[in-house]
Amino acid sequence: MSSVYISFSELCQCVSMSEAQVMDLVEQGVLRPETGVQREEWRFSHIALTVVGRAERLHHQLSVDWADMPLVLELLEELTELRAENSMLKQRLNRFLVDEN
Amino acid sequence: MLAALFGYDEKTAPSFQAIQTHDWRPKKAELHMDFKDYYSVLGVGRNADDKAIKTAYRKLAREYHPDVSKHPQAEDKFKEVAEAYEVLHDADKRAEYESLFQAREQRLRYQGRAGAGHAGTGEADNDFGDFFSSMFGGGGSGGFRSARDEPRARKGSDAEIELPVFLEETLSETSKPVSFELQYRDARGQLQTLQKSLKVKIPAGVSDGERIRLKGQGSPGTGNAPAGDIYLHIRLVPHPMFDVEGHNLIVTVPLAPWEAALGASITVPTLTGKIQLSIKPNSQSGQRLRIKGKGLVGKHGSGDLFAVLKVVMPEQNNDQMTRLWSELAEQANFDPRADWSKQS
Repeated sequence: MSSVYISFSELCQCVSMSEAQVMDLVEQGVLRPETGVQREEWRFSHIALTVVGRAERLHHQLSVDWADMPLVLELLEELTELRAENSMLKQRLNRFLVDEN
Repeated sequence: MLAALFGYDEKTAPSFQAIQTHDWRPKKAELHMDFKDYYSVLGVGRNADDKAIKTAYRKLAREYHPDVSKHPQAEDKFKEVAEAYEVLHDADKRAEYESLFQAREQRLRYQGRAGAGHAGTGEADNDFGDFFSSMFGGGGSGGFRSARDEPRARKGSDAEIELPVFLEETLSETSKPVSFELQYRDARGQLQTLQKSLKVKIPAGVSDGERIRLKGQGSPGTGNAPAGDIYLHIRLVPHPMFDVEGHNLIVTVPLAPWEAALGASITVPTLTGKIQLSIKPNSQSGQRLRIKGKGLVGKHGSGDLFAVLKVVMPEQNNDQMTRLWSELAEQANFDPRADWSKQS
């Protein structure tokens, strides 16, 4: 269930990304270990799997360069949040708006 | 159909089921699989060079890639596009596909002369992946890895399923039935379907967009590799009365003008029941009143319920009401647009 934690090497094995590429995402703050100081002690939540899976797809299927990946992932995340916020605000606004017949 | 092309009668040809049972492996594209026009999928001509194919693919991939697209059929469209690109940008696969394309053209020309008129019948409706695997022996679209490149032991693929959850269900741990169908290719590249029904515990306080991982519930792996995982993508179902803002809830409370003017004690619904709320005299439309602890359950305690006041007018006025409103207008000496005149 949701409480499954995975190590750095397990994370790399789940996707066909090199350790250096995954490390780059950690260094840039796109992936954050939930616990651990040293790399061997790092434990990631399952959300990290979603992030690296998405990074892998973007690289292979949309030719996104690894150097641009943190920016692209961050912008996509922001886009998702803004879309959700926009839809919530529209729902609230509609409770106040009445169209004239 | 390609069956005609390869010289056997569709009526006497072994069914797909029979082929599996007797392990009779037909050569490429000999199954009577519908033909897919990869050129029109990418919107390029037959003579398009590699650069044009790459450009067309990138444009369509940006439009339909499920990670970036809002298109409702994005995933299916992207699979078609990815499959077409996988064939057309690889010189060997393209040459093989081209020979099928030319043979099909000859057949259609022949059928046209003979007045058969079957050209294009149902040819665009079937699954692209089946046509692909009939040509290239497994793999299929979406992953850019043909069966030839893959190791024998391979972890099963993960899948994501949207799970609608009602706001009321997030207040305590709840158990929900989840049924889904997985399609995957087995070690021999055959398309298999797996039906699953699970009871899933949804923890209290889940929020919209959250993912729950069900380890090992995805497609089976090949060899000794483990099965993939299922990710349940939580979607909070919009409530007819409550809006969600983080862990807080918002309820819009309609008030009569005199309730806003004079104050009132009203009954307001919460997610679990009802409460009495005091409206102070001279309340405004849009004013937010906080009701502590009556929001959604959060990881660090419950959120709050906000009652947002909305002054509404009666739909109809009788003569007596119109007279009273007029009297009020004279007595009140109130200009709601006073700020405008200050600015102009």
